[in-house]
Amino acid sequence: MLLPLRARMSLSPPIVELDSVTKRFGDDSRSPAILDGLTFRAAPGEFISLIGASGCGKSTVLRLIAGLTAPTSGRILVENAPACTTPANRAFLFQDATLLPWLTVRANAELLLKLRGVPSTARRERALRLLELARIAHLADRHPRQLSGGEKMRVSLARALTLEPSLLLLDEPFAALDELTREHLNEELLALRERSRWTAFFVTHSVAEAVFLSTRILILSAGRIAHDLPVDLPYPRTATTREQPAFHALVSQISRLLRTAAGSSRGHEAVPSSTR
Amino acid sequence: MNRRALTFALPILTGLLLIAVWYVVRLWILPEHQRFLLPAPDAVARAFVDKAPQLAAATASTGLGAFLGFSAAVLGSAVLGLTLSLSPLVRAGLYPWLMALQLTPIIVLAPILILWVGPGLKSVVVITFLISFFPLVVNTTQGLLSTDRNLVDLFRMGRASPAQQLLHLRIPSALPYFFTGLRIAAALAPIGAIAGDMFAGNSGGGQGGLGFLAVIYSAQFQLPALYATAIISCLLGFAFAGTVIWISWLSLRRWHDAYQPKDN
Repeated sequence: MLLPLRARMSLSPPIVELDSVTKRFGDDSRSPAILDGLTFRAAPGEFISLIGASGCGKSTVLRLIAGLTAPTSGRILVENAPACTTPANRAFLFQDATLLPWLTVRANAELLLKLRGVPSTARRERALRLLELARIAHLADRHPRQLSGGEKMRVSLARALTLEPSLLLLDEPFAALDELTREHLNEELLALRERSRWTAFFVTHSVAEAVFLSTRILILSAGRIAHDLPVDLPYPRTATTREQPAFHALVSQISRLLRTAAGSSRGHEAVPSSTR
Repeated sequence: MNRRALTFALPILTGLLLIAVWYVVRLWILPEHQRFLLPAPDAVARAFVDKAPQLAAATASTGLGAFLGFSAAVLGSAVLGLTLSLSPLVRAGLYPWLMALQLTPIIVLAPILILWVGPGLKSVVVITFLISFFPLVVNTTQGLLSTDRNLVDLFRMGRASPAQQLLHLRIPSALPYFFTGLRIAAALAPIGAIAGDMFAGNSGGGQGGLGFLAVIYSAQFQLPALYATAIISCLLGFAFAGTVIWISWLSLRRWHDAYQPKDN
């Protein structure tokens, strides 16, 4: 069931390309590497989840692709341009909803368009359409403090999609929500993706969430890719997907791999890779 | 009686009780030759009526000085706060001296300032400015430096220009801090104006502010009038702080948690 994706991916040019990327914090070359020679490619339309023990560098990968931080060495290309130059095509969803508390939901949804200088009628229309798609148009005139955690995340998602990004970077966006809300938002995230087919990088601690959403899962360990796994469940995926035996089999299989990867990184052993 | 009415009635009750205690102390506790120290509340009330023109003119004069000095401090602190928030080097260079200025008692600085700018309203304004300035600068700077890092990342991802980041993120984020400084400064401004007035008020034909009146009345041993001056100074402080609290409530009530009605 777990096959390398290389062959399939090479058909279309990659949207994201990491080439022996190393990242250390601080200027000291002796400080430990968070990422240690990371290399992979993502094809357009992939939904890639990054999982791994805390501190394995998942979030750093996202921040590097976002251009929020620069690698110590190595090369990162997004749509064939260095990652730090053109964040126009990328949107970031933080673990926190990062809404501006002094703005209404509507004004929050319009924020990125406003920063980009989109005229007010156009941005009003586009923001409202996305609030409708995220099913929160009726909350448009509220302030963030009047919303639940799930509603705030929906605003954050709608705002990210107003720029029509080709690449969506999600850093544990649903981690703080209760299980039911999280499952619901996962389903709606996939429904939104059906419409516009952005490529996604998704950091999570939940194997079930990763399997439900992704076309491909990367298990990170000690700053490297320990496993690169395809998820061959058909789309569209709905609530019933979670009840299928194939889904459960994948979840338990990947959980097992995650445990061994985390265990071997603690022992500072070489990490065996199933795909390289 | 519900809780709301009670919180309204209690201060009035304690006030009446205090006046009663005042009378008791004056009539039955103080020996007769010391009664002048505590003029009867009705004597103070009479002083209010007798001295109404002087008190009104002095309140207007002090109020104007406090308002001008306070406003100048708000504008000046906004400019300096922005400058300080831009660079740690500027902060390192200026902060200790701002601190030194704040820790030098204003009543020592006042005579020097009067020598510099001359007596009258001008020095009252300068002294008020100095006493209100520090809490405003500190809080504004702190606010501008306390922007949520995730929000800064959001603006970076949105390719916001430094001006957009300042206008749409840093300044609104700093508002709650700014208003904290504003409330502290509003409580200090009338005190600064009155202190300045004590030194600088007797210019231009002898009509000064409340500080000047207090000096005159105590020199002339007019105790009821002195008490009346104290009470009106207190009311001026209330008016000042109350206005600022009201303005900060209007500005923040819709989004800031500290300005929401409490359940208990």
